[in-house]
Amino acid sequence: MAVSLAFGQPERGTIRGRVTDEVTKQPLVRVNITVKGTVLGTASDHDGSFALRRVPVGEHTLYFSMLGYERVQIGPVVVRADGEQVLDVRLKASAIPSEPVIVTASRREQRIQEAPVSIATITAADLQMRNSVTLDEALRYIPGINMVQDQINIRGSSGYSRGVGSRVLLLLDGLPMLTGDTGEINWEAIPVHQIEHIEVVKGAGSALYGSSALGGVINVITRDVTEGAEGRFKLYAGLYDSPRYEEWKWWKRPRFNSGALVSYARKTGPFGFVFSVRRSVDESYRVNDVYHRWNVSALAKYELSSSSNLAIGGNFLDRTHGNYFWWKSLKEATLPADMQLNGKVRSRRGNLSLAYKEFLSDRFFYSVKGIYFGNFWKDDSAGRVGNVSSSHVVRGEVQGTYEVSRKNIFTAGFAANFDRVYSSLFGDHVGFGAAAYAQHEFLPIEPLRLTAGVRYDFQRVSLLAGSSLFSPKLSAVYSPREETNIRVSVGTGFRYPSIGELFVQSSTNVSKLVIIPNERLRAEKSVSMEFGGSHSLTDRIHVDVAFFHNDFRDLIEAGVKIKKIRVSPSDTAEVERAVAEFENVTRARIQGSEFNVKIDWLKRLLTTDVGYTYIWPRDVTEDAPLKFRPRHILHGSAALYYLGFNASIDFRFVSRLERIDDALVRFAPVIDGAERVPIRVFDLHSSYLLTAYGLPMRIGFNVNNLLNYHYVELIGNLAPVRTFFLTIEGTF
Amino acid sequence: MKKIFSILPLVFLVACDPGLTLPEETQPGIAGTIVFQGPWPPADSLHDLRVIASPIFPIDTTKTNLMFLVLQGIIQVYPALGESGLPYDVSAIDYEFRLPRGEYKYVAVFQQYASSLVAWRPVGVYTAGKAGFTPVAIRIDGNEMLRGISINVDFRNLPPLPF
Repeated sequence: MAVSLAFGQPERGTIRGRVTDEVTKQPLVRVNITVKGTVLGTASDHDGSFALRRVPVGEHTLYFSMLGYERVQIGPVVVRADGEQVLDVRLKASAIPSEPVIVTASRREQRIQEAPVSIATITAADLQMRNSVTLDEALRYIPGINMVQDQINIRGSSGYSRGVGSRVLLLLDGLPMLTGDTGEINWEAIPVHQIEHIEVVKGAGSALYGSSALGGVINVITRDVTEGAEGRFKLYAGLYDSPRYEEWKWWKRPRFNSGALVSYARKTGPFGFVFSVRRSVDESYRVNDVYHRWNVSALAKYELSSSSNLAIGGNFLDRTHGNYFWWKSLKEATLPADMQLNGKVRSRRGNLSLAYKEFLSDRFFYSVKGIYFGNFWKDDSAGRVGNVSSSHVVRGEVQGTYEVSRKNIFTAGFAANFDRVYSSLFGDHVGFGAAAYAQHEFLPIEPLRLTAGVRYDFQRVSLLAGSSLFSPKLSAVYSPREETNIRVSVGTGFRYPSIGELFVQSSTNVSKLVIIPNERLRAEKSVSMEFGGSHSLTDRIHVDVAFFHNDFRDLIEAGVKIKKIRVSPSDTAEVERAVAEFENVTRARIQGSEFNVKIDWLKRLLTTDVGYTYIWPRDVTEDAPLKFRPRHILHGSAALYYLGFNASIDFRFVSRLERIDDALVRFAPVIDGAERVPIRVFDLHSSYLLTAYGLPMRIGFNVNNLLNYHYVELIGNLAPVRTFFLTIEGTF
Repeated sequence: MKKIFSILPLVFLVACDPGLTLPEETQPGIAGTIVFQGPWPPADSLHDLRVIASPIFPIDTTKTNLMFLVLQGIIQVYPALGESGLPYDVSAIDYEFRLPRGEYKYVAVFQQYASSLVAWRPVGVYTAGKAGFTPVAIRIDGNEMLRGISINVDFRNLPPLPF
């Protein structure tokens, strides 16, 4: 293969074609097409066609990949000056999820089969089928994950913190997206309609990604802009059904959850962009829980040459919502406690990112990335402003990957961050950090792939002493056959406490608790081990099994207790009050296993997917179950595909939490806060493609919480009742 | 097909399970009247006033303290913490105190006399109408609300600490 890097304008040609399903002959939409050793790439459009322009003259290798299909390599494809190569590409459906290309496990493109840790993926098609408005809704269907409202918990890593100090690192195209003040994930800042796919790494990933990757990493990969111009729209309307009990139905007119999205994308020559606006209003089934959102997002990409490109993106969210914390009582489960009745929260969040990638040869590439993530929010009660907080985070990263040979791959990088917080709740603080990491993947013997890596992090917040940590990892993947792999990994994880956890101070909040700061907090750390494997029986049954063991030290948990304090700085005497503070209180151990089986029935007419996770979470200090963790998680889904019709049913089971924080319930107080049941929820999804009638549209009908099962994910928070959704989306 | 029919009962069971249900209208507990006698304490020594029900008596303060037992949910408090306490400067008040089933060896009215959370003392004890301050145990079985559990509070003659 030759990549022309001659001075001046190299001679170029075009590769175009169409991608179809080998059996059904149906066009395949959004197949990823890349040219090896270059930044050139595209995706097939709604009729499966694609075009790669400005390809340097010479011989090239092309990759075609799509989740659910075997990856195809075509080459050499000869490109002549101003010539045009036409390809007819057919992909073979496969139940083997080893075919998709992922980027999160090793910070470079690799087949999922080569990854040394458990990884789950969600495709754009999954998001579309389930009508997921925000990302957290889609993550509920991943084995091993349970959501505590909008806080993610991978294999029992997180307890109750209302999102503060996330133990899961969220990345947007590889860049961290945690807020600067509370270190939490804001799912709504992610433009769901621009997602190509999502990768979920289960287990500690700090050796590559640093702080917060204690329980796992979620990397959201956005889609490329395709050649030509395309407009898209989506309208949805959801209607909340009545709860089973009249006592919980407070509304006189129907309550809706609805929204509209319009986007426009265009690519001409080397320049492409996509711009979108979304408006959504969720009237909610609970009093003072209304959400109003505006989202604006934009992405522009410029191919500087066949070996380098530049991308600039931005997302902005404006949100106003009621300050619903917990119910008044179980009898009045759709009403908030009196103190929350008139509270509102207004927030504005936005990020601006820049990424440059260049191939210096077909074996070496480097990337430079930077992101600014700003957050502003304020809350008020009956028009009186309460807390005001703003945070600004700037992160930068340089990474290089060198493929010495197919058996030796080096990756190394440097990252830095700067945080600034102005807050009535947390105070005014500055933080900064720097990190360096390196990783070596090598194959000592052909089917065995070993990976060794290490990362060094330094972090300092405000006037507190800085702290540094080494995070090593070691892993091996043995693939005796294409359809089989065995993996083992040992790694460390850590998380620096967020500015919010260190400095939060509040004597007037929705609870009766005084929340006090703890500047002595240390980073929490973990050692994470996994042994697992996957095997495909024929190309229609795929089984994956994993056993995991995590040891945590200095786990940071919010605790409630009686303590002598000065309630306000002007107080001269200390009094005993019920307080909440974050503390390094716990040594914990989480062990468990996960089993996942996916089967294609009747020539892919029907697909079933079942995942079961057993978690044994123990507080070693207290010799008791860890608070707010379930013991069993079961997911099941069955999906039917017939011509343009899709229908699927999903089932989620999360066992009843064995232990919660009784002191929090008693002293906050959350009346009936200890009331909880196992989660058993069915969701039904269906959609029909109208392209056969000449309309580039899809209509969908979903029923979430089909059986109107009443449960809580978070104490004192009734989960959504049965909701009917109608969706219409299309292109223009 | 047999397999499909074999899971139907399971699906039916899941479909019938409503999950969380409304709390029972009749809940176990005690109810009665608290009668106050004598002059009310000055406002600066009257921070809070509540009824407590303890399955333990006497309470061994060398091993634990009252607030810890409240925190652990062993000692029950009426009105619940977080809600306003009993009203002051009244001659009598009716109360209805929901309690888990079980035996309560000590039921009393407690006054918080200083801002410290441990500054509590008894001002009246349930004695089943008998003279003195010897507490009388109450047992709650089933969903019954035991009525007539009246307590006399005489601010001129306070009962001893239950420790």
